[in-house]
Amino acid sequence: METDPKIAASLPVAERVSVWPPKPHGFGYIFSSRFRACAPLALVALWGCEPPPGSDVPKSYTYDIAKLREASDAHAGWTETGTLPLPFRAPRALATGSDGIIRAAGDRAVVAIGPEGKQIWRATLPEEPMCLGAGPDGRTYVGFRHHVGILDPAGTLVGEWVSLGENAVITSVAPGPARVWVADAGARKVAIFEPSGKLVGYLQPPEPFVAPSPFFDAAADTSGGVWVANPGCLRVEHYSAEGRRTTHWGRPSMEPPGFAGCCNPIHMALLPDGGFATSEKGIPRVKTYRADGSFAGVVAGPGMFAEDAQGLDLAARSSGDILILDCERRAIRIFKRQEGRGP
Amino acid sequence: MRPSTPHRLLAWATAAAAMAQHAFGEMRFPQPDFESGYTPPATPSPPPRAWAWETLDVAALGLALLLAAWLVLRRRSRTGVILLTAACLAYFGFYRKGCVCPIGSLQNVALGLIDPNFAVPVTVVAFFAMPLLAALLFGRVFCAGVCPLGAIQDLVAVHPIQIPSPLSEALGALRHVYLVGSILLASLGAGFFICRYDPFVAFFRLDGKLPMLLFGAGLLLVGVFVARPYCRFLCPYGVLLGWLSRLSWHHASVTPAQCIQCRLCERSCPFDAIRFPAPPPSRASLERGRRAFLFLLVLLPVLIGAGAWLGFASSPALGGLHHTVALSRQILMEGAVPGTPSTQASDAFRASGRAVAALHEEAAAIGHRFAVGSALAGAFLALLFGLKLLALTRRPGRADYETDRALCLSCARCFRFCPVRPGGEVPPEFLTPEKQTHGR
Amino acid sequence: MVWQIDPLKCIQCGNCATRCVLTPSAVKCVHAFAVCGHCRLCFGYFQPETTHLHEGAENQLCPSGALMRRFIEEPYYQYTIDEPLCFGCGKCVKGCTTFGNGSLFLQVRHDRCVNCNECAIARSCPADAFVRRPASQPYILKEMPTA
Repeated sequence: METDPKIAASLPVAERVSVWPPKPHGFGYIFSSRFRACAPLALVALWGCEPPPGSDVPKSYTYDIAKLREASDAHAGWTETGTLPLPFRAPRALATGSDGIIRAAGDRAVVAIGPEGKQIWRATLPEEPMCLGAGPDGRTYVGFRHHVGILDPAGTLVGEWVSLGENAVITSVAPGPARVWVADAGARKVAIFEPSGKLVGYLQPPEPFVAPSPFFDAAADTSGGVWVANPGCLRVEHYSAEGRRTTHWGRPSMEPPGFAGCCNPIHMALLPDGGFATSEKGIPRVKTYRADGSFAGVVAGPGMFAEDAQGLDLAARSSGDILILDCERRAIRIFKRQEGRGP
Repeated sequence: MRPSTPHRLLAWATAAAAMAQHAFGEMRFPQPDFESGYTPPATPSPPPRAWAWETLDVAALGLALLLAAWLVLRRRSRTGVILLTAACLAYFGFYRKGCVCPIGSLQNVALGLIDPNFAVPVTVVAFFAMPLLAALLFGRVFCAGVCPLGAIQDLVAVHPIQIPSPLSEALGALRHVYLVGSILLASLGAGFFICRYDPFVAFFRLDGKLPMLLFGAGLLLVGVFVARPYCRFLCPYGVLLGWLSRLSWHHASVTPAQCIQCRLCERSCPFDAIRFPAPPPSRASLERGRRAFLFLLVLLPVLIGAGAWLGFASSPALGGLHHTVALSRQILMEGAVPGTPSTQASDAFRASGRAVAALHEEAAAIGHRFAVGSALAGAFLALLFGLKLLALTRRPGRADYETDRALCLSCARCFRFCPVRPGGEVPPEFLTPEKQTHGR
Repeated sequence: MVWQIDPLKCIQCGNCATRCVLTPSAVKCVHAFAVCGHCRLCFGYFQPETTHLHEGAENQLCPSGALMRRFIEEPYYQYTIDEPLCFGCGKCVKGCTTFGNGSLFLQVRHDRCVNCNECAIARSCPADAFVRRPASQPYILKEMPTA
């Protein structure tokens, strides 16, 4: 039955088939001398070939913002003396009046908190508040998205002013003795109202305000003028009661004396000594400047806030304490100047 | 590391729920009034490959499977199989860049079966099921002519050597471990390890990381001498195909008609898939085999128990491959051992503000699933091992040269070594002298 | 199903540039123009502490110069991405998200993505920002709501 393999191998059929596909060689073939040198190539380290994430990312591919933050953490002269927790899911705004009462807005309400920390009244609002202003007459001005609402000293909603238009995003109300300035980030304009609610006109800046995001703050001073934070230009500008720009200060810089990022400061408050408190986003920090706009010091650096801290609305007490609205902690944080330290 | 600032201005098409907690989230902020009439362009968003092309892939797979079956079973044409192999390598490999392939699709199916939230597209199910169906009908024709991973190895197998059978079988057992392990890891969400360690996909993309390119190149180099090393010793899908191929309706046979025992095909198979004729076992060896069979049958539950225990014991290590478990362990480690360097993942987790307790809880639940899953996987592997041992006790006699249906890749190599014509005609020089005289 | 980055979860760690199976990565920076502040001083574009705001290479944050700046009108600028140059490191995204409006963000570009069964970047993403999306809605774009 069997054919001699030798005969078979010599047959034309076998010859033909041996061209392709090849016939397997014996196992010993791999041990022949010419392949011994290749053996190490077979050893390929497979496991552990994937380094931990990030270890193979060149430094030039990443933006080290932590390093920039650290520079603003070296602060002195201010200490946190306490916090006032707020009864809001999402706090939004903060204001203090000459009466010493703190107003805070959030959700769809405003609360008034007395100097000793007790809630005096709570007002329910028809829509979400955006910002707050405390008038010298004891009234509270609530900025809604498109218009301003007025609360009387007892916390009753007594009036609502005209809408500033469909595109309006009201981010600040600055009540002065004779005028109320309303900053509208949507239109990049500051509207001038009489306390009665009559829209008088708009501030006329030499070049348009630049508000790339819904942060555009204003604060009335005692001389009848108003300070406006022009965030896109990274500076604070003063306008007289007539609406002319008189002066401005501020420069862009990551370093504490300047304003970091593309649009800062996001909030400011006037201090009793004529100086300023400012807050910034990006590198969350609160700083003070003197009345002439020169840098005074850092009140609270990025280390004091969440990494992506939002809001940071500011207010000042007549004692000079600075109040910071911390949306993450849902509280007002109180900072006091240390005795004998700094300006 | 910090999370991206949840945006103050934006409403998101999909992430509204995540934004709800932020007071600033849902605000619209108008664009400046551009006096020059500038209007911002739309964000360009090139679409992915159209669904129609995916169905075309499925159609191409079906056509290729039928063609392979026809070439192997009807035409018995090695040349045809080589051409089909090259075409499928070009299309499924280099043009479609190897994704999704039936080998990888078994993980999608496994995960889809366990996790109801993981949707498996119809095309992926088709890719998984069609080669299996083809194996049930015609044997492993997918391996022969369609699989791009097989194709790239088949085309470099120019100097195949024959590996001793025991070594080949032992290495082949790796496939079962790989299959069960990858199903376990995929179905419990630890990742798709078959895809991660696909050795040839980097070649298909003409792009890849150095270790994987070296691994692929090494396998191809080995594959010059040890034909199709990935298919025979690693491919997990091949195990499934092998199981179904055992039951196949039609299967390639070395000889088209009656085997004449010429022995020409003995060394023709580079995959060690040809079974040689053997005399029927003697009465004594049958008796020995019967006793061994019974002994192993009794031993089987012990084996399975041991496998389950081994699986259970290795579940902490396997669970560590799941990123949630790994993250939970890293956070625990950083808390317990001061000075442990943080990882990007642990930094990101802390910055996200998610609750640590919830993470540990989730990790514990996953760890529990891994304990159960690993024990089951270990038991199943032990069962496979036991069945293999049981099969070894029964060595039936065999009259002719036959293919091992589980191992045969239907590559059609052996066909050319068989001198018997399809009609059963035998060239005269192969007839034994007795038959030759008889023929004359 | 296709892979995509949820920009809300993205932390701009840089792994998208290095972990993709493709070189350069299939992840690229995209720009939601409607969200952009069109700032003169863009922190996605300029190195920190740039004093003279011109387009000189020494001022640019992008390691491959893929972010382009064009004057529209005082004081607004348009920023566009030269996609063939971008390799998805997300450095500009980090600057824009931290300091600006976050109009720059990373997305898997589906004209490049080979749609691996297991995305190699997703596997490495420390923030779990990769998600599977239906192929009919392959992008998670930042956009202004219409109403």
